[in-house]
Amino acid sequence: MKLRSRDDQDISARTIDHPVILDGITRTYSSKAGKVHALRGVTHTFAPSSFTAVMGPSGSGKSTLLQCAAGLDRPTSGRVRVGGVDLAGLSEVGLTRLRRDTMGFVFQSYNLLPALTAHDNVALPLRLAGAAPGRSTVRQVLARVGLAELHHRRPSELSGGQQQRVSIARALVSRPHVVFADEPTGALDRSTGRQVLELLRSTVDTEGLTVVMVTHDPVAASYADSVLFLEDGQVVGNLVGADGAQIAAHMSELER
Amino acid sequence: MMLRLSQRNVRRNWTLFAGSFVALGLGVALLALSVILIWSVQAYTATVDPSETDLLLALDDLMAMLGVVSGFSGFMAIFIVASTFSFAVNARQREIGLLRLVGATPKQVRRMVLGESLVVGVLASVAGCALGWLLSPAVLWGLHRRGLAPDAVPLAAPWWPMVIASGIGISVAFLGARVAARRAAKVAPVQALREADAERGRIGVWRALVGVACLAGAVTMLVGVRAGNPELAMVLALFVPEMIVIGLVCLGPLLIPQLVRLLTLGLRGNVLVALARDNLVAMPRRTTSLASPILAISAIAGSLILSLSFAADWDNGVTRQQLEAPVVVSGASPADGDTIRQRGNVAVADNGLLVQVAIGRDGEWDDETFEGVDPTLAADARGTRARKGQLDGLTGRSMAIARSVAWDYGIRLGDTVPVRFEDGTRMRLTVVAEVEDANNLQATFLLPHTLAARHGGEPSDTWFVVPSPGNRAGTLVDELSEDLTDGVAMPADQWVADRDRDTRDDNTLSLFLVLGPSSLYAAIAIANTLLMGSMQRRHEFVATRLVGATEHQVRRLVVIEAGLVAAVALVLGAVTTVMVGSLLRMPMTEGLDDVPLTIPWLSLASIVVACLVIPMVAAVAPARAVLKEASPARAATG
Repeated sequence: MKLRSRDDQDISARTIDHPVILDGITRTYSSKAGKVHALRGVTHTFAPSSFTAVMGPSGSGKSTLLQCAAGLDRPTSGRVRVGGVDLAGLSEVGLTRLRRDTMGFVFQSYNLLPALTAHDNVALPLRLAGAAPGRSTVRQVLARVGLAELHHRRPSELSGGQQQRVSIARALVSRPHVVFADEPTGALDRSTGRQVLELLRSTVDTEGLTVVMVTHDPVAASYADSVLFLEDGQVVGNLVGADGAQIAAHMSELER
Repeated sequence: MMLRLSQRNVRRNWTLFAGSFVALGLGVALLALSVILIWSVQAYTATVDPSETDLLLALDDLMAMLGVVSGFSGFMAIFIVASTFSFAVNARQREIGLLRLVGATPKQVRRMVLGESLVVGVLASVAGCALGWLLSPAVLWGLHRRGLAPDAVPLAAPWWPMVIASGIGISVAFLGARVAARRAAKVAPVQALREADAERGRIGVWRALVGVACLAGAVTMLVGVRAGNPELAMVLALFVPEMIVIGLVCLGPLLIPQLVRLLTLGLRGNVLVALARDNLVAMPRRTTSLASPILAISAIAGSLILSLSFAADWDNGVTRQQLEAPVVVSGASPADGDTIRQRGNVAVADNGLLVQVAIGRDGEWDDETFEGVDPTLAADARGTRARKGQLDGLTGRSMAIARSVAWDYGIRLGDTVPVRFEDGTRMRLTVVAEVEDANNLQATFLLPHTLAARHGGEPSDTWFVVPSPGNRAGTLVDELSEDLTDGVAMPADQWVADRDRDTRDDNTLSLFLVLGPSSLYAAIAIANTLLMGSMQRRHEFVATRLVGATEHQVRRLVVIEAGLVAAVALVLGAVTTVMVGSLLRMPMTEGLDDVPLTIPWLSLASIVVACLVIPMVAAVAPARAVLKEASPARAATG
């Protein structure tokens, strides 16, 4: 395990200007039933310190878009640049390093390690990167999501909302430049969901993070600065500063 | 960092590692036990008077047997650690994907899995050493009771044996976990986002190559070596099945789903069978992990049991083919010998003189039992004939050897072999003939009767007797029975049958010693993987309940799945057994007209029953608890 090298810091400097750029990406899966085109040429730049929601009907390619942007999946064609680095040129280890230094992830199923306490789950990304995070660093991040008191609990001893907040703390602990969220409120009730969304909103406003969130909930999307609409693997619209009702109207237009 | 994570994983998912732990712990215990005993026997051997050759030979045999037992158990331990670890990795794909997602490199994941094996290895070694040490006095006593060890062997200090055993134990854990660790490193981060685990039946090039190489090597050894005698056949029967098992497990993800399809052909009308089949075919690696311990033990135990039985058949066939004398006296004292020789109605009375002779090879002396025979008498009574060379030449300073010895020692016709008799005389004997093996009838080394008599040969207690022309064997048996003081006279058929029974009894004892510990491991490993399999599938069971299956149906599904896995493994085990058994039998029976075919149905059937019952019970036991705890109502509310 290596500490952050000079190169990584260079990446950080550039990230601020160009967090995530998608340039004509397509993603085709071949299955027994034939070829499935999940993405058919998507070009988009996620602006720095912006909160973008990605919406679209089921099967429109939202999750594939997110996975390609985060380097979890490799596009069939097109380029993905994160912080000025072309992901295509990176090895598995290079991708892992880039991810742990510049990206955070939040998902519908909280994906916490059941063997570890909340504190250790949050500290894990830093530990994996070879750093020895101080107790206070981790406690601070946990306090940021309102869970300072519950640091010693294991995931099974936390409610769904609390688990999701632990996973947000984990996403924030390595001070990433971009956080990818896939249906982060999908498994939560309305009021816990709101807390999570407000938390994401405030990271953008106060810490200058870039957040890319896939969702199907217009209310959740209304917390974003702009909403990117996908259909059949293509971008079909981009609403800026819309409220829940406008977003819902646009969605039902698409789903008709 | 990774080691701490490994430690916690083991503590939290201890059930996933319980099988590895128990198998490894028992392996280390057995190894510690063997090494302590070998150590003790060796220390004791050094104090024994070199003239006590019988005792020294017995100690030698004991050490050889302990060696085979520990080697065998070592193989099973590696195999089981490998299969349980790959299962543990497979079951945690999401968790590993998550680690990768939050920044673990493939190397870190590999280190984590190796760390887990280290934790399990250390714990198992400590427990195993303690167990082996505690058991050693009892086992030594038991061996003595069964006549396998002399009395009063003092136990050596256990420290070095324990260090050796735990060293091997930890290395075995490491080796076993290597493949699993490499696979864990290949789990993609995106795996954390998938709800359902999916697998493909493809296997890597290396795995395919190793699999094909093992199978090809095994067949080449069986067909190419053409073991003409039981000793070599037994060596092959011990090692070839392992190679086949490794080969089959490597190719398992390709082979096993096809076999599942084949076995369920025509049964797909039953919805549970169809579902079980689809579940197994969709997860080829998982299915292979479940099947491999069953395959290993059934193939290895089956081959060994069948081959030993065939070797006994061979012994029996050779004995009956060669034995000319219609009457045999066993347990005869020297006085009985005189009685037999002096009878008027006896044409041939053949008896060997047994003498211990050390054979000089590369500056070392190996003790062997030689039999002094009169070639003419032996030919008439026991059918002893030369395969190569002339038995008539067995006079003066000469010797003859059995075919297996010629192969084993590399002694050829015409060689002059340096020997040392018990009375200290040294000389060189010329090999004048090579004879067929006939373990019941003669020793593997023969020398002239007069030479044996000069150097302290003692008459064996078996006499082969041919009555004079005109005398009936039955009458001679009756008359001898009256005259003999210690010996028992009997018709040749009965004597052959007795020898056959003795051989098979000995075989049962060695099978018990060799297979006992490995079977125990296998049973534990089978139960463990199946148990884990069911516990990991809580969500799937609930989902099946939600779509309308009754609790009873889900349990039946689990039993059918486990039964199918076991059946597939047993089919492969049976193919291995039949292949090893028949390929070893063919060259052995060549040139013999009447070899009985004894298939130990009872032993083979008990393997089949155990291999079916253990997995089914192990799979359904946790399913019951899991289903009760996870009713559909609960699942619906989250």
